[in-house]
Amino acid sequence: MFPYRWPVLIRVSAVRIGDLMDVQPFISVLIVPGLLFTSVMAFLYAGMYRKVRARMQNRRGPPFVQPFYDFIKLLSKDSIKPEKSGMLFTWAPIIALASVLIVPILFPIGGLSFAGDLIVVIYVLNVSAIMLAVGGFSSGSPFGAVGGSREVTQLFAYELPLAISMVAVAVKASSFSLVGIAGAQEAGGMFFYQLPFACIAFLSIIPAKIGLQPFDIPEAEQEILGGPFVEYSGYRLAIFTFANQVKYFVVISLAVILFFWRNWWQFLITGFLLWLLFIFVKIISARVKTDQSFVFFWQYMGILALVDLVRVVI
Amino acid sequence: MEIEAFLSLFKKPFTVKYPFEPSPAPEGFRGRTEFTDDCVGCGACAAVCPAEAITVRDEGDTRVLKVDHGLCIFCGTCQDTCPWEGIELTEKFEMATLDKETVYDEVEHELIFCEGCGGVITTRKHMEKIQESIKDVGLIDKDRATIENLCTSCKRRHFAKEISEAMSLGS
Amino acid sequence: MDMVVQFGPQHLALAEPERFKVHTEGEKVVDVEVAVGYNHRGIEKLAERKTFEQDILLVERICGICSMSHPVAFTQAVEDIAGVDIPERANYLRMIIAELERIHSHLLWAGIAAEIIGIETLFMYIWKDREYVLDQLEIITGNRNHYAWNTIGGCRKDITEKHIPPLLTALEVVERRTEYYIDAFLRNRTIRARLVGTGILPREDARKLCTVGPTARASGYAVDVRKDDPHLAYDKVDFAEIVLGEGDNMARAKVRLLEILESVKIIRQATKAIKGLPEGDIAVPVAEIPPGESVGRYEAPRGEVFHYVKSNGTFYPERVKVRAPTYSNIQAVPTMLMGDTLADVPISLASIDPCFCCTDR
Repeated sequence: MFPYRWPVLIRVSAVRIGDLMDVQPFISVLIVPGLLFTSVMAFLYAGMYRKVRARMQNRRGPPFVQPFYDFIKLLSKDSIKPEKSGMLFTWAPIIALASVLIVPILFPIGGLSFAGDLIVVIYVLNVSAIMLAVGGFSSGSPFGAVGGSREVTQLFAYELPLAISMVAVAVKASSFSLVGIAGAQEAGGMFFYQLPFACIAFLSIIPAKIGLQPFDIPEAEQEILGGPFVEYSGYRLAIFTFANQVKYFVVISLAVILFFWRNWWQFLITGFLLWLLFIFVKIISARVKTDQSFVFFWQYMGILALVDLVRVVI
Repeated sequence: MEIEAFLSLFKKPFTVKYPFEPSPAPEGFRGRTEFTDDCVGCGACAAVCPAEAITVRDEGDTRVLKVDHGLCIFCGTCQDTCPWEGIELTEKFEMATLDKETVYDEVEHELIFCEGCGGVITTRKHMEKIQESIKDVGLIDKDRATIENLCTSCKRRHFAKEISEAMSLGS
Repeated sequence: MDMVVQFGPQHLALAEPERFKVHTEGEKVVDVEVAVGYNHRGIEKLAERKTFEQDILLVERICGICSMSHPVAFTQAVEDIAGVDIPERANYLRMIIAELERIHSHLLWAGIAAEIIGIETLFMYIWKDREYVLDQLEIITGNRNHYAWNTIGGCRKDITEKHIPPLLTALEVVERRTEYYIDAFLRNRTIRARLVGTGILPREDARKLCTVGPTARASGYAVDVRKDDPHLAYDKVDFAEIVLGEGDNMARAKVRLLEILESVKIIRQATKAIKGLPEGDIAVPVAEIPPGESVGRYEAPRGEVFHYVKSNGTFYPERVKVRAPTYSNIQAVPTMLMGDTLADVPISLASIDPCFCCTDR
């Protein structure tokens, strides 16, 4: 109920503005589920990640608001730009953040929507992954280049099951918009038991998309010194890290909307539970190599998603 | 490992909230080196210290022994070598400080000087402890053995003169 | 795409600085250039300025985790020059601390290997169990790492009756947890994907490059100073030499983890043996070191440590030469890395258990 009441309240108190134009888009973009809500959820997800990971390792872990403190701290530090790097070094994190911030505006919890916004979501999320690679290549360091090339390889690998499972869901819901898919689930039940293979394929690409074990080879800290992140510092690193944290929330929420939607508060709870599951999977896995992940995504997950697509089309 | 990871969520962490919770060192821990009240100022510890952390300095009529915790390697050789239990490795390990004076541990002793040549004999405390330790030993002439106002060279010269005088008198 | 990726001197995979220039074609390694010497501190030269007794504490500080290896090798060489036989109890005491050091060093390595391949959780668990061993070392010797346990002629402190029960309890925990970790390493599919079949060192190359320690034993080349030339009291206790044939990273991990179990066996036998020996008989006085030269060998957790000491009859040694095990093993690194992908380089480097401060002294 709450997302739909606010626009009414604002209209009553700011009656002149409400007469002149529609405030709903501004609220959707800036507050819920736009900038403010997404930022809060991103920091919450990141804080949960560090705390749960620590507790599972018999440690205490930082307080839940630590990612917020880290962001503020990074903004105050000097951001060094290597000599060999280009203009894209600064713009890659900014474009990455902008692209992931677009996606929550289209969520069916009081956001805007239009037909076909699912396709926009897929492409916009790809932009943020490519920006990771671009940041790595533009940093002028061989470690960054190796990280960037690995990111592109992995993107190429998990694109196939991602696209196929999303198309399967869209065909099942007879709509290419998130609101339409949510509506189809409210009417006919959650998709995860109707399209189980597509669900498994989609969930398996999530660690690769957000940079968690077992598929976080592009950002491997111990091996290639952080890959694309190696030369970033100060505000550029703050923006890049924040973009990653927003990606945690956005990709998990996308999984919930596509396969587990019932209504908005169950969306939040399932999001948290799914995030806990992925933290757990990260904790118990080592990092697999690029060629091994390629085989996994193309052969196994691709075929799995294809099975469901065929099932739903027939 | 998967089950353990899940169950650890509900168990108490293994880490100790030091410094808000105490974390004491066990008995016998080799910590901060300190001089005790039994130190006599003989300088044996300074002679054997592998890191040359203990310095002995004679200033006027005081002898100052100083141990520098920045150089000390906490090996305990000084503790093992000291014949008087004058230096010990305590169990203190919280030595971080902003005040440079606390990095050193000093002890001062009064020196006694030779009446013959004016050189340093040793510290008063050392002489007293030596006399204390030999007082029950069977010596022929206790007074001669405990002359405390001459250094060893002057003492030898003094006895040599006594003996030669005695021999020349006898002859 | 030909690239030169430089690992080090500063790198997150290496705890200490050395430079490895890795030439790659794409992701495949084609050549490795190794440069050592970044950690050189001139310890051998300094050893000529300190007395023999002070040198024990100096060579102890060549390294933190091999800190029983160097003193024992050194004192064995000096005691050989002086021609003294140390009491039997002192040999057992040295052996107990040496095997405790082997346990904590192998646990440290297992944790670091887990962290490098990405499974940080196993790293935290293994180091938690390592704390039990370090607590015991702190209670017995007074410090977690530099034990100051040796003197020329024996040991400085004794292990009394009250030290033994907590030690045996800690060893039970370590044994149980090590079996759990062996199971985790062998069963977890992502760990197997990284360790099996990577960093292969064939047996013939291991022999030709003179590798020592678990690096050699995992390739099938059976060298172990404890069996070949028994020092301390190793000929009086019963333990197995772990030799495997595959020579890949998983074999080196298995050798080290199984050696922890053997060390636990050795310590249990040693604590039983010292009950029969008189307490307090831990050192013989050594007045002076006559002129002469000798060699002390010791099986450190990383391999054979070798100290050459030459005395000219004065208080100070004339020459002290130290050869640490990693100095031999590091020459096997190019062979191990050749043909593997770039992702395998850090874990293969770490699998020789490098201790670069020992290498460079």
